Amino acid sequence: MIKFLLRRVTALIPVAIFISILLFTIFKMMPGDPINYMIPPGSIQDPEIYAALVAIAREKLGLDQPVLLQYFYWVRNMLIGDFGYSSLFQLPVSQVLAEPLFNSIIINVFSITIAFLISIPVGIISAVRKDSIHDRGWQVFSIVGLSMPSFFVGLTLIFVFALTLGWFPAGGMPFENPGSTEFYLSYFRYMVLPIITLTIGALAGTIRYVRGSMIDALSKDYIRTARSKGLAEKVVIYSHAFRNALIPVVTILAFSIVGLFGGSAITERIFVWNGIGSVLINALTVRDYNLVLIMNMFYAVLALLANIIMDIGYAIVDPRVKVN
Amino acid sequence: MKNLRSPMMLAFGALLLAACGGVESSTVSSESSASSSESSSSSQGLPTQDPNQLVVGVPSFNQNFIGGFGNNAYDVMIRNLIFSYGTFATTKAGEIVLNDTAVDDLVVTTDSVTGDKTYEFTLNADLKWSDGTAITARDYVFSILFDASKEWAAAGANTTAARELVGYAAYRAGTTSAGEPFKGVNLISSSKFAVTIASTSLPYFYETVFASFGPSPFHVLAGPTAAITQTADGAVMNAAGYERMTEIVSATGYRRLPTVVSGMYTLQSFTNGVASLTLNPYFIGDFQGKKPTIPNVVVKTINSSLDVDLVISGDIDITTGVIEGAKIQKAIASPATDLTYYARNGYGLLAMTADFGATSDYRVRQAMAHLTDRQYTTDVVLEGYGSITYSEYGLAQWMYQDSVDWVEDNLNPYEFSITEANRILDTTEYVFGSSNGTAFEPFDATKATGSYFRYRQVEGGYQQLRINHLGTENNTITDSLRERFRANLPRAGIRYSVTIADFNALLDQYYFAYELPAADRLYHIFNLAQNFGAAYDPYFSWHSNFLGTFFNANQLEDSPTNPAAPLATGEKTLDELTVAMRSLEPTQRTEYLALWREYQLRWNKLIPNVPLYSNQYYDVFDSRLQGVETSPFWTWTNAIVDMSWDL
Repeated sequence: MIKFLLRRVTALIPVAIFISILLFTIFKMMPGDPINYMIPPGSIQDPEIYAALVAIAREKLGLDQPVLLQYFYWVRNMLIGDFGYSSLFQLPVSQVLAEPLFNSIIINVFSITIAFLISIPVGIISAVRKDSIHDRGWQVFSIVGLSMPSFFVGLTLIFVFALTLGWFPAGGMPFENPGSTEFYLSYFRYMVLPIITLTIGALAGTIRYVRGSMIDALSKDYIRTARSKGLAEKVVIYSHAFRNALIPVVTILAFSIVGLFGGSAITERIFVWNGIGSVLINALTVRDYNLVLIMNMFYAVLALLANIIMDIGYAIVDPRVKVN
Repeated sequence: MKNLRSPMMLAFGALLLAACGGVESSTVSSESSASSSESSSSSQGLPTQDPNQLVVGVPSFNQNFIGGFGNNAYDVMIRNLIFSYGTFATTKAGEIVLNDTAVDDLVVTTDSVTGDKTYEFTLNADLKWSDGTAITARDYVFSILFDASKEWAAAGANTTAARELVGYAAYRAGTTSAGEPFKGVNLISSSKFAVTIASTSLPYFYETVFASFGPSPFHVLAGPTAAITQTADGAVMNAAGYERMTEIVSATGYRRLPTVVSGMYTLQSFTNGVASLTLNPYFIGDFQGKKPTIPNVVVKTINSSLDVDLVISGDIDITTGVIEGAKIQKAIASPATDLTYYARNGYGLLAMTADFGATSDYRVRQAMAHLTDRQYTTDVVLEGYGSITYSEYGLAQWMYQDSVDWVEDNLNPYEFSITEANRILDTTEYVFGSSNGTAFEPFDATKATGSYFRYRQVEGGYQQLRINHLGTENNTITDSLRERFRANLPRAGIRYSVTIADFNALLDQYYFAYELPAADRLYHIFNLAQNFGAAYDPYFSWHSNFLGTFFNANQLEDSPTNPAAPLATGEKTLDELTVAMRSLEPTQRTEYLALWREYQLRWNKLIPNVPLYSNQYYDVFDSRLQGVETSPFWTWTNAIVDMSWDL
């Protein structure tokens, strides 16, 4: 296993380097100058002072170096944990991300957990009772859920449950005394609608995956054999069919784990949830290259790691797959 | 840092797509608000309201709660709530006045030899920080020395604080400001300090902004061994005074969570885009001596597309700067809300390059003004909640308020007219017409329906009259201009093209395209917006001293040696007028107004920007909230001293 992991991790290095070059090049080619955000033209009415301040800002952002050197410094600094300076927040990038990352992980953990807790039994039952009313009902839900963009779901929930019924806040973050019981209760209330929005999106796809895998598994010869041996239907479904059906589900699960850290830009924006996705959009808008670059690199590395997790997952659920 | 209304913050407007407004405010009551206000309560169907709290919704924060780190309008709201006692303040009408609450006495003297002018302030004795420590003259002097220092700039702060004072250059000359005396800043006693404005910056009509400073808490921000001493060459601070800068600007530092403050409220916490504030018990009043009575204020980030809905549902109590017609109508119709509105102190504009392409000719710009269907924009895009302006002014400016009839009588409104545009273009070089770029003839407007364009003769051939427009994405103003220009510009023989980019790309092109070789330049017109500050000084935007810099973004030269258009008898250039306007004593209001009118006439003739519209801004609030009377210079953070709940 260790050998396998080492081999896979080693193989990731050239891919990561390639991605880093690609990302860096793309961002350097984008129009717009982050300095314009840090020191808006017109905000300083003295050309000399403006020039001096711009020089300081360029140095802070590392833009005073040739592009090639900028890349090498960026990679070197990244490896030692220095992620650069955010032009948007005017802080080191490492100090910007902690709070929104925590918020994103929280809502994503809830939504993914709920989505899997619902979709696995629903998918299994739908497969076992294929074409029943239950199955068709969830199929309709899946199609509707997949078809509706998250902003539509989010705005509908806001309209119904916040603005009309007043059960939940329409968005934002709690303002009770941080750390108090009221704060945490309020935090939970603010989380509900974003979590439902994310869950509906995740649920629709996952149900179809589980159902499809189960239908496939249930049609296999070994299931017929198991049934002919007189095994109880529950044993056939859960011990024989489900374990095999899990293999494609592992793929979704692995990428969902990556998604925990990725945030959900649209949902977070609609609900003004202070998450990492929201930060990414804001940073992109004002050309905060250091912040956007490091976040994209982080996602790229996570995606690569997800592949390893996926391989390990396959090995766990499918004895035919050997990691070595 | 400091209370950080630096003079420049007070002084100048900036090109921004940001909220602003006008002097006169009016209140619009919702249809049933009169009856609801008599017995407003949750039993009337209105949301339950905590009488001890005001919740305000804003689109975003950057959490820079001291100056020098950008001017996010919502960060500035928090600054206004937590910092006070500046030497000068801005009134609701936009007038800059002495802050009598902070300043007990002001003596202004002019050096008969140098011409330098000294403002000597005597502070009121009962000013205190929110921790109960007395505010002294040392805090004001500290604020100036700190903000103007090299160290503060190196820490990332963008500030021009105190640059008009005597000795500024010397104070910043070395590698450090520590131990350097600042000649124009003097600590006289614990209650007295003085600042001296250099004669080179005088006279200046808005001179008081050069002497506008607030206090910073020396006992909190300076190192434990810090000291400010008075020398013959001015005040000096030792190195310990600057040693906490890194800590101050850090993620957990004073910049993001100011602990000890001077304003109406203290910032209790800022988490996840929510600022919680409570009354500062030591605050003695704004410049009028008024104090707020609502104990707690929460300013929270909201989804701004839902701002009015959130006021109606009771999620927030007030939202500001609403401009969309549908939202305004919804607020008017709801018994849960009232509105107050004011004219924007700025205007939307179509900027035109004056150094590149056909728009270099002022007559082409005049023709473009006639081809811009501004009524369509205000009617369709602003849904009637805006007015057309004729020149570079905001409806809230006192100069405009004093000149409403004069503006109507004297400025060219450039009414939409393709015929008039063609008449003007016939006086330019673009007098040849062709459909295919080969057979040229005198331009015939009747043929200009799509592919028949104007040309001018240049060395070796003919050059087409082209206008390339750069607009921003998701912008209804851009959409309306594009739609009308596509239809109308070809009828004047102008070949029109438009590119849609994001706002950053537009700023890059608008401000910095002059740096590009002519062959790489593409765009002639840009739509954006401009807001004006309380002090209006167009010198930086239009004087030829700033050609070749982004300050004069249009790169318009109108100097006596090279006027941008022929001068009528007695007519002055923008160079002369912008200098003359700023070179008046603050008391010369009549003279300033006369020059302003001359300036507007000249600007209106040269028309470097087509003025498009000036919005009306609406502040929407819970109908039980009393005293919400705002203006472009007087936001809810000022008006809060008059606010109360009528539950």
